[in-house]
Amino acid sequence: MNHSRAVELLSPYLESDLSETDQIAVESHLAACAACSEELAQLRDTVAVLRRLPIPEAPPFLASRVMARIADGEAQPGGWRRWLAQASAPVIVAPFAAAAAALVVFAFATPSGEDAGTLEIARVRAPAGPLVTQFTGPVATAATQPGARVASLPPARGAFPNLLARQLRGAGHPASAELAGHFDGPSDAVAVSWSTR
Amino acid sequence: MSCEAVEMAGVVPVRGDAGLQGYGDPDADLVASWRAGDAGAFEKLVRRHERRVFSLVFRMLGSREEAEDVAQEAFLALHRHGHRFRGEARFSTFVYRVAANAALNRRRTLGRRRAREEALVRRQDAGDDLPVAPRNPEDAASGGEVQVQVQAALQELPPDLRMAIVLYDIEGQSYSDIAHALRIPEGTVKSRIHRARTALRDRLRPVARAAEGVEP
Repeated sequence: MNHSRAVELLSPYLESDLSETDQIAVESHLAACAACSEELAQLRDTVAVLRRLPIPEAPPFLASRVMARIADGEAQPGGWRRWLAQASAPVIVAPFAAAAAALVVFAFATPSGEDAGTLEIARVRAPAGPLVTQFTGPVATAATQPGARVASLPPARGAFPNLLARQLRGAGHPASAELAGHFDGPSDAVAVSWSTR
Repeated sequence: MSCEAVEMAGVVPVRGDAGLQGYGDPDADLVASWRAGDAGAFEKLVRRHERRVFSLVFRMLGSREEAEDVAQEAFLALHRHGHRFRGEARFSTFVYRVAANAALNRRRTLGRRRAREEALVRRQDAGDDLPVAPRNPEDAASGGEVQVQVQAALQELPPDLRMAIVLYDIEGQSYSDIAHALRIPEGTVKSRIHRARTALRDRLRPVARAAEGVEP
């Protein structure tokens, strides 16, 4: 075993953490290498100093302070998670949700040109009443035109539609409350589409 | 195992052994109670592990004041992320992992702050050398000169080497537990311990010789 390899193995040698082959090789090298013997002695002394260090006492009242901070809510998610939790409050989300829903409805409700074809305007859970009578504005107009149809789709996953409905109702605008009705209901999702042709 | 024996198991520096898992985790009952909603169980876990957590972060940071703050943060993080404990290792290993992360995060923050402060001082007082880890007079008074020198030497190690040697040689954790706590291979643990010991060897030689009664 060469010198540099032996030096690398001195630390595990101290811990008796070598294979039998390596153990024998290190011992042979130590017998012939004064530098490695000295290094081993120094490492052993270093480890002894470290292991004699006392374990400091924890500060008094550490546990009590931790529990008090937990009681104050400081163990709640922090950073962006806390921001998300706060941002999911209806008072914050509702305006954004209403704006997004309106954007979806009105953007797709005004197909331009004769080639617009069949457009899907919304994917929502089954409304409480007939869909075509609940939409207003361009959507209702489009849906009652010849060629309009309502198609059932597989149930939407997750609780997002109901959450969106609650947030829309919290927005305080008559239109948002009406839109919210389309996001209620436990059954199948529906898609509303129509053709301009 | 008696309650007192369990409490002592969290304090006495007995090197961990992965084989102990076969005898069960001494924290298992308290962890189960805590998960069932018993806040008192979590407080008992904090009291059981507070000394070890404080010791680890103190050795990593070198300041009692910072260590207390980080120890509190570590237990808050433990409460926040306790659901991630899967029982693959002992709960105490999970606690060490959380505490190690808290200490390393604070270390990085302190490093940036210290670099800014040192840069400012250098600009104001060019030519004066600042100590890398200013000594806390309170630590010097309470811990003894050997502890102060060891602590100062530890502070000069890179954080990854310092964490490995603190966990192994001071906290008495096993290679396996350290690998779990730091999420690194055991071979890397051993390599870091060896490099840390080698780096400390020269700095601690006078201390070690004095401790052995040998003239430096």
